[in-house]
Amino acid sequence: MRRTTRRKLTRAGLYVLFFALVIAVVAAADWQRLGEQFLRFDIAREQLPEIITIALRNTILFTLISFVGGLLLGVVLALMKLSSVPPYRWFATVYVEIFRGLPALLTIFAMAYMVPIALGIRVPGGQVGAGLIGLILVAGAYIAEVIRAGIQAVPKGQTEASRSLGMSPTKTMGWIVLPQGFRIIIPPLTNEFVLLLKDTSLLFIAGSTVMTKELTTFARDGLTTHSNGTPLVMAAMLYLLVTIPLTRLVALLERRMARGR
Amino acid sequence: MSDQGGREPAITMRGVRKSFGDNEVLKGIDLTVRPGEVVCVIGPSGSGKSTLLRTINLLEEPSAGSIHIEGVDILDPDCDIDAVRTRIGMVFQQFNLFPHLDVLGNLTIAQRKVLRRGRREAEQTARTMLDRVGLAEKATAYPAHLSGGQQQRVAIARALSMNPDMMLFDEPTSALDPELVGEVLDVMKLLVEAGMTMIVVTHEMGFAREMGDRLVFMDEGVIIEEGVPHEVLARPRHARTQAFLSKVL
Repeated sequence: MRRTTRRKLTRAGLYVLFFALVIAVVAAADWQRLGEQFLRFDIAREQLPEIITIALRNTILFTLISFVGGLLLGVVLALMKLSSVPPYRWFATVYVEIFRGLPALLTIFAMAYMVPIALGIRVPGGQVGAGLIGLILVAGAYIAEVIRAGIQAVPKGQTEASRSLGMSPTKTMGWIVLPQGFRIIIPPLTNEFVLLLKDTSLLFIAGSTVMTKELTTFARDGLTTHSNGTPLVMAAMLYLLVTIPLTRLVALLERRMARGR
Repeated sequence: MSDQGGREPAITMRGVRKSFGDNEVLKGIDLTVRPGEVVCVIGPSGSGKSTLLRTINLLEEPSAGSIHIEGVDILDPDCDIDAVRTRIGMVFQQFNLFPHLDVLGNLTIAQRKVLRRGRREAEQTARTMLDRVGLAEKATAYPAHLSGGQQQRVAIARALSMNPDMMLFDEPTSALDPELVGEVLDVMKLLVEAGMTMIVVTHEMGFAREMGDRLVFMDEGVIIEEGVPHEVLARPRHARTQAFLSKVL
């Protein structure tokens, strides 16, 4: 058999296998029951408008808070990691290893219950607020690595040119290196944002009140109340409504970066 | 070594050494540059010319020796190196313009952040310098939209915007397409004519012969010989200088 013939046959076989599997699943599934369990319009209507005005709003709010917090923490950790003073480097390295190595869920859980006890303070937002601190700690560790990579991607000649003009190390970092580094890391940073948006679902472990429910918690409560999966489907669609445009944006940015300015 | 008119030398280097790990790149450099003097440094690649230049504004810290800039010991731990650097302009082989700032931004950032000049004063100085390098119309362009020759002229204007007393050129035309070399050399000639103190590491023998007050030939981390450019070029005394010149001339 010629090689091209054999390749054509393999491809045809793969097509047949794929559609056979799809048809088997479609035929085996109980569509009516699935529809009743996951796409009930009366239940869907009942979720509105709170699933948007409270749940989606909280998801976005928590994402923004943890992203901004993680960004500030990330800049500090990245600068520490690149510091010429060894203890700062050690601290940042250990920090990043710990919070990247632990499950985010565990960190959030621990913070939600530990922070109020350890510091004897009431975090604004109660346990969810304390849980958010956990999410910021985790986000900071990931974002620190992204920022460090961005700083190191700025050519050394930029630092040298800046220093040769009499700019101090701090001024050089603030006016020359960081602005360029941030430009480089916009795509991976947007990626972190999307990951963080999804990770806000982990805040359910912190326990939430009616007003602090985010999408996943809201949907889970809906699932329990109605013994029906429709709220989960709605939450899923709302997540995708935000994440898909964002990931498209990242792809667009990456293409623009590749073309170069 | 003799001070012209009793003035302090612009640059005095004594016994300067620099090692990268086990590799000693500078093996005891003595060099004095008088105010207004133009010194061209030539030599094979790896001879330490760039390192020599980069020790003068302490982009490379010497392992041993002493460097004085206008009488200030820059290796003194108490020396404010940033203040000294504002008096030494530097031009790099790769231009190193700041890509996130437009031309005016490149020329004003250090004026404003280091010299604390106001926006108007900084921009006025910047425009004067842009005019000197013939790029007044490019004030709002970004570096990526300029040719290599234009970028290097902007880099020269950026250094001049700090009103330095001396300028260091590290192979300023080596990264340029041949047809763009002339415009950069022309700007440098204007600086020479204006009396700027300059150290130029270069492969442009024509520029060295025409514009240099002194030619320094380096090899393997030492100054092999120095003298009036046309004499060194025409009658090199050392075998190594002869060998090098026979290859490049």
